[in-house]
Amino acid sequence: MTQWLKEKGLKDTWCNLCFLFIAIEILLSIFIMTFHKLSGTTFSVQIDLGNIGLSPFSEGHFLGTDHLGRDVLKQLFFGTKNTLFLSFMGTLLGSFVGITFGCFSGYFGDDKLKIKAAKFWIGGFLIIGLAFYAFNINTFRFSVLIDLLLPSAFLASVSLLIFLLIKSKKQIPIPFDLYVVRVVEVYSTIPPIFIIILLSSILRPSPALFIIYCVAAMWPEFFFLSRAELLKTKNQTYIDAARVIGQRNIPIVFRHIFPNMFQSLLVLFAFAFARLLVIESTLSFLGIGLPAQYPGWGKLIASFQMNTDYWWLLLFPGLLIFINVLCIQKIGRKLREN
Amino acid sequence: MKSKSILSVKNLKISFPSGKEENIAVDGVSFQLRKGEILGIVGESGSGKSLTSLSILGLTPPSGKLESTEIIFDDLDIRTKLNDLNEKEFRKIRGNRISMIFQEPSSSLNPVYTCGNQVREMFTTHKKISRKEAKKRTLELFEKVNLFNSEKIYHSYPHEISGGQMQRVMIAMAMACQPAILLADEPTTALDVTIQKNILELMDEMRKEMGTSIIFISHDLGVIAEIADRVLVMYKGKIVEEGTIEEIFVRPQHPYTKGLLACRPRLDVKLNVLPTIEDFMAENESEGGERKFRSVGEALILNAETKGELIQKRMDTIKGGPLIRIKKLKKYYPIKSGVFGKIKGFLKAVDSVSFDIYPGETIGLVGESGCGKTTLGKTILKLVDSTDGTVMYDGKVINHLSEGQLRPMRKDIQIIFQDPYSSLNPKHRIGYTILEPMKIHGILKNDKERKERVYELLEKVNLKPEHFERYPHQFSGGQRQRISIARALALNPKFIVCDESVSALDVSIQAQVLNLLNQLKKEFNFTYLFISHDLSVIKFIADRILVMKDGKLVEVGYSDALFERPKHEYTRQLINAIPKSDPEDIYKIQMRKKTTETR
Repeated sequence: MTQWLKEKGLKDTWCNLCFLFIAIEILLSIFIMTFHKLSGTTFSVQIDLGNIGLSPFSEGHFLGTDHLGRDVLKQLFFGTKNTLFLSFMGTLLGSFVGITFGCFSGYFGDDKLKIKAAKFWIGGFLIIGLAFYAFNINTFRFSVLIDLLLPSAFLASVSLLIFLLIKSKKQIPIPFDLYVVRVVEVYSTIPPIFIIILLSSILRPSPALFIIYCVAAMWPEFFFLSRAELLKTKNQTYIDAARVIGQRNIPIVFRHIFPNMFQSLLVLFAFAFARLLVIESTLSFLGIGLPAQYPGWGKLIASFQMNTDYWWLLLFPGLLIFINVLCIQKIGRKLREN
Repeated sequence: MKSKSILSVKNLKISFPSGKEENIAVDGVSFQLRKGEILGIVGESGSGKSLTSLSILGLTPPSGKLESTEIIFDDLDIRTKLNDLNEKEFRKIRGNRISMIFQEPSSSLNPVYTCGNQVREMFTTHKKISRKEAKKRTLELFEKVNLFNSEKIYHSYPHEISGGQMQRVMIAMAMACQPAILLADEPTTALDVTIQKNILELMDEMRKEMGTSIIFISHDLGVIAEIADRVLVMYKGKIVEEGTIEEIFVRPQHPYTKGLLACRPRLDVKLNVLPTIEDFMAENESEGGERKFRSVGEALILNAETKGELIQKRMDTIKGGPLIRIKKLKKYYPIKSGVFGKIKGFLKAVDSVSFDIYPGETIGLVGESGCGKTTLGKTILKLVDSTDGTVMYDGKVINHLSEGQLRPMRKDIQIIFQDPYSSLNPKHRIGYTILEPMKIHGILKNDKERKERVYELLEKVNLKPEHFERYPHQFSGGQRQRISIARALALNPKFIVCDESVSALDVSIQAQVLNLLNQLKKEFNFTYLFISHDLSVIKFIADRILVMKDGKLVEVGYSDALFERPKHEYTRQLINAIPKSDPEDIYKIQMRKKTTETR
């Protein structure tokens, strides 16, 4: 395998080993997931109060058990699956959201997105009017008919008035970039881990919800990098050349700009992934992340607190976190060098 | 009078081993530099001229191999063999006794330090004097290189001053320690002609004052003729000719030198086709084979355009109505400040410009950098939005159309950009780059036919069909510019804006590209708007010339009339600043130089 990678141009043996390790982990996780789904048997981790605190290498429990008699090796398998899957999906979806917004914001900038003056005012008025109505709908309630008809008639008439008043065809540029960047700047001052804690305290996360929380925490980074890369590439002459030959906006972004910023995004992806791994472990250690039926590295370490004699509860998950983060960082650094 | 030799290079050979092959970049170059002399080295890019100068300073790239070389530096009565020095000993010579000026002033000054700081550093590292004293000397030096607002320049960062000023700071830096030798590697190529003239004068002054010998490297014989005493002509790593300026210009021996002399667009004769170096070099390839021209004069006479042809051409073009009509076009850039971008004022890049372009005509737009000529070109193409005024194409106003409405018209109006390195997407194969415009506009039925057409286009611009699958970084500057031309041609446009399309190329390649543009124009009846800062190029290609200054048109006229009787003072300045290539002019320059020296 390493030989094959070498021939492919990846010369660094260490990097190849890291790559191999992560690949095996992911394949194993996928295997466990599918097997688990298909067999439908109780392959899951079970509490066995008869075998509390077995040390490693004891019979039937290769890496021992914890204070509730759960098998550590099994927990590690499921934990790795959970943590890797959640962090990976979180980073992936986060990068999608961030890159989409970043590209949009960077490409349209402050003056490229234009809207007719009449549309602008009517739209603004409608949004404010509807928001007002939505907030006050509980306070005055005569009948359903009046409730619906009266405000809509009012809104329509005012819209028409605005439309008649503003005759100019002049297009108002929307400084999309300016406002979005300011908002995201403020948002990104909140640390990612805090965002996840905040959201988790509002709604106890399921795996799907947890991924959404991760996305909420990770996307600003991708937003800023993709916007910066896009602005850099946008000013290259070949983008002008693409516009001159009549290329549309979306193909310009996807076909001309994106391939040129792909590499730096890949590097960020690797580092963000590693960071999210640590964040996820921290949260499950604190007991904030997923509920107890989903094992995680952090939860194993947390159970070490129950009885500090069980050193294996600290060593093995700790080692896994360490190796995983190291591997991903190594790959990321290699990507940056190339 | 022959002064003693200060630097002698013997049998300089630099090669770059790549795999089993060995690319020889410099092959057995030997020359001598005398005290107080300006030695010009001329040659196209890749001829090894820059490498030669770098090797004198021991700065050859690590992958390069130096062989059987002897570089002897004879300074202050001490003979040093430069190629045997170690890094520490070399540092005492670099900047102190031998200094260097590079081509691009904006990238050779460090952007995070002030200009004064960087020049002062030269004094503090080499002369061991106090900071206060060093500052005083720096200010004196700035005055000497005609930076009159020296205190202000001292405290400004490189991006705050103009290109010409930056190059002056570079010269001040190079001359700080009164070096024995100054290596100038294309110091004026990135500058406008008027500023180029000032810099050349300044360098000559510095030489007289400090007795410094200068090695002046350029691809342009015209510039060399203005400043140098002796010239080396380099071609493919070898010196093919050596002599004084008069010898080279009046009696060039080697065909390559003749080609170089002839391919530069001239101010005195209007040519149909520019002679290229290939026209002269053909004989070398096959013994006794045909070569087009034997001497420079022959090339000029055979190619000259007659007056009758010219007048007939003009009558033909005016017959139809104008193709492009520009009326009071304005482009103002707002100057913003604050968090939410409040507008403070406007920068008037294009200010009320009006002119017509007739079908089949080539309009030359000339002006210094920063005069708004590129912005004007981009405004016509709606790459930047105009502030006010109209651009009419074929009777329709196009600058108020939305992007979608304009799209079908895009195929009629094309542009060829200045920088061949950034105008092609590095991640696309060049075949796709040329094919893409046809795909967008639905020209031809399917990709197979389009691919055939790309092969045709590649051949038309003298490239090979097998180049289809390659990426832009595998091509040279001239080849890339031809790819850009092929991309523009793919849409069968009617009107092409050439934005400094040949400025980044060597003189010899410039001639080829200009010829190609002219030949295509004849074949397809294009209309060009040719933007350039180089009046001699404009003179060759343009029928009518617009002169632009600070966003305004200051003079419009037919090219011959404009050159013979320039009305505006600025036009006159521009014309005077062009390096001459006439033997008579060169003789005058050389005489003037000699008389001022003896005085």
